[in-house]
Amino acid sequence: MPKINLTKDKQTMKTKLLLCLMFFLGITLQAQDYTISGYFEDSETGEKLIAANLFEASSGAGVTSNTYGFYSLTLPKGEVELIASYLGYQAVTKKIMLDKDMTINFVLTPNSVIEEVVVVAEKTKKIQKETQMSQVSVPVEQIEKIPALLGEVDVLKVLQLLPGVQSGGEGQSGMYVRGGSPDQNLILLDGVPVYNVSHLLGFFSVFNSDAIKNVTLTKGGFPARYGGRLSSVMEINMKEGNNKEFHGEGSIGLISSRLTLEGPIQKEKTSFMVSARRTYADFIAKPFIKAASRGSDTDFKMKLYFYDLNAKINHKINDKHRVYLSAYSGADVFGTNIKDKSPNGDYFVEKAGIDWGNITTAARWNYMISKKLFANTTMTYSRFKFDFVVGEEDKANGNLETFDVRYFSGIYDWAGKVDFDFIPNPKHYIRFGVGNTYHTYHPGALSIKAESSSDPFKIDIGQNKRYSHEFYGYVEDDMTLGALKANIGVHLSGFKEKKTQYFYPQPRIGLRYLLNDRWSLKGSFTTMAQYINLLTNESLSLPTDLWVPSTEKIKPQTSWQAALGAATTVRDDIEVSVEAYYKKMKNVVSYKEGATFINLEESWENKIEQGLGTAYGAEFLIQKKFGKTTGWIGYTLSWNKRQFDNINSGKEFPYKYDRRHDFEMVVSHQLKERVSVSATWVYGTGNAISLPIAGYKGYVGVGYNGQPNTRTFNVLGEKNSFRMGAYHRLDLGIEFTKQKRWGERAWVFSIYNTYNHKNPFFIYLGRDYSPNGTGQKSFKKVSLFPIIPAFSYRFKF
Amino acid sequence: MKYLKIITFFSLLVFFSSCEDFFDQTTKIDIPPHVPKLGVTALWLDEGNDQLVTVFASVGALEDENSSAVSDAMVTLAENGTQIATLEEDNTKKGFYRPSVPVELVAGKTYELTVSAPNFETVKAEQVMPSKPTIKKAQFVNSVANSNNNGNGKLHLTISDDDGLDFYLIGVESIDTSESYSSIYSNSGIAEDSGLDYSRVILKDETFPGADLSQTFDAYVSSSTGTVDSVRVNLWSVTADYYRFDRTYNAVQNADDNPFAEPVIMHRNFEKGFGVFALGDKSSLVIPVE
Repeated sequence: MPKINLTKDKQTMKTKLLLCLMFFLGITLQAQDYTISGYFEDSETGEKLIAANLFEASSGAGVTSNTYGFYSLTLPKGEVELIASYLGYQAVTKKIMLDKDMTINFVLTPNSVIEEVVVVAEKTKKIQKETQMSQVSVPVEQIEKIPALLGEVDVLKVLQLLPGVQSGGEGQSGMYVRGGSPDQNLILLDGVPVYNVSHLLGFFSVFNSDAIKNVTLTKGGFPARYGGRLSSVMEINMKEGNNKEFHGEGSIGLISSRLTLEGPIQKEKTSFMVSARRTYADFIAKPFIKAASRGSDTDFKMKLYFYDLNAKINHKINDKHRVYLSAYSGADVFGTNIKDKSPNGDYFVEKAGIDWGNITTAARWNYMISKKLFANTTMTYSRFKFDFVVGEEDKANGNLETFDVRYFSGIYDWAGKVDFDFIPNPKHYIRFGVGNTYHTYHPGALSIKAESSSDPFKIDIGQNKRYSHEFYGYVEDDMTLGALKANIGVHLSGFKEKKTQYFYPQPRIGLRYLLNDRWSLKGSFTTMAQYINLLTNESLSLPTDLWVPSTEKIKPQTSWQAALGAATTVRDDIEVSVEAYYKKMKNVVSYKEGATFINLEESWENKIEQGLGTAYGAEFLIQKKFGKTTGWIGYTLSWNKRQFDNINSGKEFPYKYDRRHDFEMVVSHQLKERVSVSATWVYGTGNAISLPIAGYKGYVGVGYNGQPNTRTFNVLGEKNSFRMGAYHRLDLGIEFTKQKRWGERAWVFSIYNTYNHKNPFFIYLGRDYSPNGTGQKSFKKVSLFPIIPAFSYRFKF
Repeated sequence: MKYLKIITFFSLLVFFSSCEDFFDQTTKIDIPPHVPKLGVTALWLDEGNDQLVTVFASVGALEDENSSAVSDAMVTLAENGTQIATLEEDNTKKGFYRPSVPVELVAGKTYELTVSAPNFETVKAEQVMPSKPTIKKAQFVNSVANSNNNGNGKLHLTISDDDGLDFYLIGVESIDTSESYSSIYSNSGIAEDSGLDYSRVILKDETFPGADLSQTFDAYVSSSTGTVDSVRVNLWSVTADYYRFDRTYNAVQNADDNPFAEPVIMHRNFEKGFGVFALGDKSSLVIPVE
């Protein structure tokens, strides 16, 4: 008998808990509520549409599709009018009698660019209605129209043109978001972190726009599902592949060519996408090098290229289950091999090579557990490695002697996560999940090896591998409370490295208050923690930068950020937003003064300083995403400071990328049906730098002779107390497209830095040597890119 | 026709791209001219050549001249706001100033060094004299047998530390004054090699504020006159400015000619000028070599 009572007690307890949960979630026990769920798809490609909108006309209840195109909307029984819309697509209206749970997949058709799409615009979700603030997205089609350096379309370079985002220096693809450093950006390619996003020392990014479906950058107001970095989250989703018919696209440019192929393996069930890009400076140089070394005893070989390879397969098992497998591999390869030959077969070889790159893979399983509950399980692998080798081979009198020096560094991640979307009713959208990442760090090692008959040796200098676990759980609810919408959640994360453990609960809140149908006020407060750090040289985004863990000595970076803003939509198609933010960062990392990655005998932990960062400012953005004319105008007013106990005598100083004013204007216009033009103009306050200002003699202790030792001290001005000149640049582009029997082709012409402004890249102290001069010292500014015309040929079939 | 225009336009751009001057990417930039300032160095550690102040004129980064001694400077020292000494230039060394009688510096009192000279802005720096440090325990154990009878072993040292952030300099030496060599090494993890004198180590008590520090250092002491039977252990408590100057000087030495090294801002505490005024007080203990 007691057993029965216990079961009853348990049941009563369960019922009470369920009622409490329902009360909290605002669920009413109405037997007449039914759920419509399904996916949003592109009618031409079958690609899932991310952040598409569905709302019911009379009640205004609505929902947005998730990263996998899934939606769920629960409504009372009766006749409902559903409007499905997505930016750049024709809206679909559907009237149905809702008397049971239903699955409806909305298949939307893209608009022609020429169409004036005001009617559609009215039906798309407006910026003022969204809870999320500090988030920007640029359609990939628009990214491809923006004129680019050497004609290389670059996603990261386009994101640098948005307010709150800054580039490192001339032509660099590193990102500095709201005062953060590059390691504080979580850059996810299909959910996998990419650790080095640069090719060619940062002049190009690793993302091939042909393979990309969607790009979103979040600069603040982070929902609880995001974590692990302080300053931004950039989500890049690769195309899934057309599941209806086979297609291809590509381009031939000045420095690289690209080719993307996609199509169904099993129609509307399994599709693939493969995309490749490679530069060909080495191919072009090869015949010239060969001609130059003809008849000589010296062979010269050179490798000089970068490549990217993206691939993805997705398979729909049934209406409830889908699986995806995606991968990326990219690398920069530089190498020379000079061989001096003797007629008797002896030779001497000098070789050098640098090779760095990423590999990422992700396996995903989407499971629609019920009409209201969606799960995504992901397993990922990410690897970044840098390898530098110099060596010699000497064959003389039949004896071969070799000598090799190799510097190696890298980071490897294995990760798993499960994310759930639970949409109990239109007033709540709940997300929760857990994840774990196993990091392996290889923070710099030097291997010296000599092989010879007489004196072989091998020396290994450098750092041991380090390992850590990073784990997290989160829950958030995007809830509607009348005119107020709130996204409230908490991200709990922890980190274990050797015996050191850290744990940080990070509360997050985002609010939106709808003043009227056109205007809303937004606010957010977020706290973040970051457990891995990038030791980087401030001047260049070098692949020698080291990823290192938090340890007992190196504390995790943490931050809090508060933001306030207002948003509206003008004329139904122009989004306007203004935001002010204040961000405090703790334990930000920097190399110590005088430190360098080259000195491997000293542990990297001893080369690090940790300090404080403060960033605040205001951002203004007007953006038009569709129509004949698209683009945006952005302006950022910001302050960005750092303070370390042992740098700059402990005094606060401006961060190198403290940029008071940053203005950008990006416009694309469809001039005619087959001709479009585009222009970009950017202006930014010059970067802060330290310059030598003077020298003086002083004494530094007593010498062996008992007399004071004197020396001249060179004095650098206070840290970053000088400013380079302002950066500004105008880029122009024009594209001619034509329909051909086999598809579409386009000629794209562009001019980078049209008025040839000599933008500062770095400044050094040198001498002017005139024919009869004495070699007067002077500061010299080095600029990288003058006016650069470029063209490329694109095709689609 | 329209394509011809485009091709002509791009051809012109390519033509201009080949013009070297137009596209010279290195340009001279102007910075404001340098106004000479006083460069003052005063590192007072209670040892030989102590209470020395060097005064030199700074030269701009673009100038090739050497920094010249300032001979007509007025160098004064004030204790808690009252001037207590005027320093005189050394007859044999221009720009070297010392008090005629060494000043006794008292722990806890504030000392202000003021240097003024015609055509220069007056510079000032302030220091609070640190307390004399306490060597609670010291033991030198010779660990390597050697024919020269040098001290080559381990120095076990216990320091009694005050509350608050303190900075220490540690050295060891032969007790005879003849030509000898001695060194202590920063192998303990807490200390670092002093940049101003590599035979010493420097540390701050961040990890043990207010508690005793017991640490073992590798040490080497030699003497040209005979067996090292005993050594002198020197412990200084130094000011934060001494520590920072030492660390930045060390960083400058390490970064010399390395293009990948992070820039170093030499520490200074003279307003309107360059250089540093820093103090330290020393305790010594002679111990036998075991």
